[in-house]
Amino acid sequence: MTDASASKMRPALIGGLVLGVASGLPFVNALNCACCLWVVIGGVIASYLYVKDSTLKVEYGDAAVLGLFTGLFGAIISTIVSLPLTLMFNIGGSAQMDQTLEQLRSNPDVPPELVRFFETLVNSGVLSAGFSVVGLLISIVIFALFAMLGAIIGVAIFQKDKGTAPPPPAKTDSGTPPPPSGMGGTRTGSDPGGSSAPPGGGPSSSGGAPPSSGPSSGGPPPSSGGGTSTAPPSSPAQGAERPSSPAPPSGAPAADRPAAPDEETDEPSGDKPGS
Amino acid sequence: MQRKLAAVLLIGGSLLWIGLILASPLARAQGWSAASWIDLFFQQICHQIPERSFHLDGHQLPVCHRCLGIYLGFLGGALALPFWHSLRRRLLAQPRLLLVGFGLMALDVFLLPNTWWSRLATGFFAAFPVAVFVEMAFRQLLPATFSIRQPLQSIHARE
Repeated sequence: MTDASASKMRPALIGGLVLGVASGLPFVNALNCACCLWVVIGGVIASYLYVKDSTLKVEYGDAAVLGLFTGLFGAIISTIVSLPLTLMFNIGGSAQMDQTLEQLRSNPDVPPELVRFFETLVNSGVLSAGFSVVGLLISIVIFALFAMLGAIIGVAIFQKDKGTAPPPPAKTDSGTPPPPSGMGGTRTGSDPGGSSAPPGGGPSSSGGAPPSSGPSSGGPPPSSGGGTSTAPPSSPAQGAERPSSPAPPSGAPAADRPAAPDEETDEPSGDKPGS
Repeated sequence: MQRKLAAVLLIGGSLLWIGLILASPLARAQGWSAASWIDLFFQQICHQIPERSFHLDGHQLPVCHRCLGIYLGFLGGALALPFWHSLRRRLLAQPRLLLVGFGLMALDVFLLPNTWWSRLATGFFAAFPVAVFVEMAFRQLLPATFSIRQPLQSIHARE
């Protein structure tokens, strides 16, 4: 996660508000018939705001979390918006309820008391509220999924070439030996592609190359994220999923490089069968 | 490990989703009431107009041509892009290429006299590249959960 993760709530709330209100209003929510377009739009709005506010490059994982929050907020807001309308006009689930009521009436095995009780429930709107609860649960699943997709698409579209999170200080830079056990001494939680390789040195360390020299040190390329490469990334932050973490070969700043996210993860060598 | 796990999650989720779509007409053919619940679920996502939907075994699928194309495209991307390295690299380097597929779909929606195959095809090509970004997101999210494997693998590698 980047340092901007603290500001996820505001974009998620705004995106959730947009998609929730739009999805809760009758007729307006018809756009959701086009592959949950309001929900996707809400995710895109949230990611746009998040990318705009972020000083660092936003990762797709951040966008996914942002989208999940957006969908969750949106589902709750949508239910809150639509619940009064549902209770007033008996909109939601009425077809299913009528169908069930008809089935009960036509079934001679069902006692008439039960049918009357069910009719009372339907007329009082209690079942509509129940449908709203079920609808909320379904909405949470659907909205979270599609808002996540929207947020990821939004980050892909709105992403600018910003700097990345600075890698944690490499302890091996000061000449101290790398952690002996490879238990992630310098590895952070944001090093997903660090794979099995211990940071800074490992069984097949590239001949004592400086840890911060990156792939240009003549060592083998970093792991492809498959977790099986024996060549360790030279820098602790050089995860396979951290696009611009590897130092540029020419020593240029990372922000000046063209966006080349994850090329290192896509080396065919990392996809060998059985690797 | 994260890469494989993310791919498995993505492909498995897509297969489950498409399986649910295909299960609806099959369940309806069997007379199972689960079909109406599946239809109700997808009713929130798709207009389900019969003329714009495929039919299986005489029963309508719960999503339209375009939605089905989108889901199939996503599954196709999840299956193909891990092996299609050149396209994958290009997409990750230039994510706005996504807009090409969306533009084609918008063109089909608003301008062209669309047919079932154009809806299916434009949906497919719009969603095909999206899978690579979702897979990247999964890969970035997974390590926080499965990080225990990495040090263990490291120890095994030393041994």
